[in-house]
Amino acid sequence: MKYISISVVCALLFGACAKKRPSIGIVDGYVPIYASVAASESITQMAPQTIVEGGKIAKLGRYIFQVENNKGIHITDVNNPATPIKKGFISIPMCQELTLKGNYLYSNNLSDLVVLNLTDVNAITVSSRIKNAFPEISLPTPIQTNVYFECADLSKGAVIGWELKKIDNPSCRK
Amino acid sequence: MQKIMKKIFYTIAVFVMFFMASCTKDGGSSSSSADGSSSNGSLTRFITVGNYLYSVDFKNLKAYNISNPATPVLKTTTSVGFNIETIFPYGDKLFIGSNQNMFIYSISNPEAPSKLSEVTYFVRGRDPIVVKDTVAYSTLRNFGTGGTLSVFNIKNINTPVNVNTTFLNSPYGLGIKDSALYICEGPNGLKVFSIYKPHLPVLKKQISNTETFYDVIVEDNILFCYIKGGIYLYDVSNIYNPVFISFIKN
Repeated sequence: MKYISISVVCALLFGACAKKRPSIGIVDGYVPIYASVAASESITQMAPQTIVEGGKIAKLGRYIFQVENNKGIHITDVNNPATPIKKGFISIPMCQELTLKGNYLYSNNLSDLVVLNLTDVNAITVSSRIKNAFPEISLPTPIQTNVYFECADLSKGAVIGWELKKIDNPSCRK
Repeated sequence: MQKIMKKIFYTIAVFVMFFMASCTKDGGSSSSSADGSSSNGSLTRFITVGNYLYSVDFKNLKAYNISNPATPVLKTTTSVGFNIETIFPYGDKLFIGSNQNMFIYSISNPEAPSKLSEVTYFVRGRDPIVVKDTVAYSTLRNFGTGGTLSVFNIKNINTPVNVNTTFLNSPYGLGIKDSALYICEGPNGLKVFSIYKPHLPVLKKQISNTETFYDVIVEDNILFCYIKGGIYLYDVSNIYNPVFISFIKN
């Protein structure tokens, strides 16, 4: 009970501090990129892309898959490890996770679980989608840490990315 | 007669090849390919085991039936803890890492995972786990102050015992092949430990360059390293001495 009271007092104190924090002026910070529901759920196959913010990996059969953080999945043929061949890229907004079984790839598109059919890697199709399966995975915050950002306002649409800009007195930080 | 001998020879050859292929996959890799599941890095939140897909989000473990792989069906949602970040399957167990705990769940009933035990760390950090036989290895990265490799004896799965702690620089994901333990050290590269004595990891080699190393998958004799800018491939025919093969980037 004592601890709860202390926690509550601390929370109140911190809350109060956050509100009364003096203006920090114009700083470098991340601004949400909003998209319509249709655009944020659009999964498309593209030509191979350069890996910039490489993410998690999974290997199955001759292919290795790597997430491009928040953007999609790179597919590379590593049947001959000495000469890997990039096969393509699947654009999946806010993708961070992946695993595979047989011909199917399981990933996240924002907070939805999506299943892709990879039977033909040149013609990948979306098999199914479970809405809001991972409410906390795609938290609308930038992937970077120790940065300021403009708090996401989901009434403006789904957050499908972040861009670095000069922003005036941002109220979010992580 | 010669024809029959030839036939027998081919039958044996095919059998031997099949047997060898089924043995090449190492137990330390994240998933077994026997059921058609991918190998995953230790930092993953999604895995498949048999006809089930398991996911961990911030606090829940979800079990989906994927008997029809195109359309997962959610079976159970289990509240595990807070700040869950990783999941690793080993046999009929799931090892789940949060920023302060290692949780062990049984999936002997794959649809309804049940908790067997948990270990609470004294410090907070990140927490991927890999397992070999009766030993679990987990790295913890403390923000700003380095990190550790913790070794747990899990012979008694209900009461894991921390048998060793080794200091590291900035650990992320890890993986096992035979008696080699590969640990990604972020900007400090990749470290290779011998776990010939499973409770006593011994540093054998460190590889570092300008890249940031995050996680590994080991399949056959190839070590796939997830780095920020792509994937490095190393030959680990000599398990303690990875030899660079190629780099996936552009």
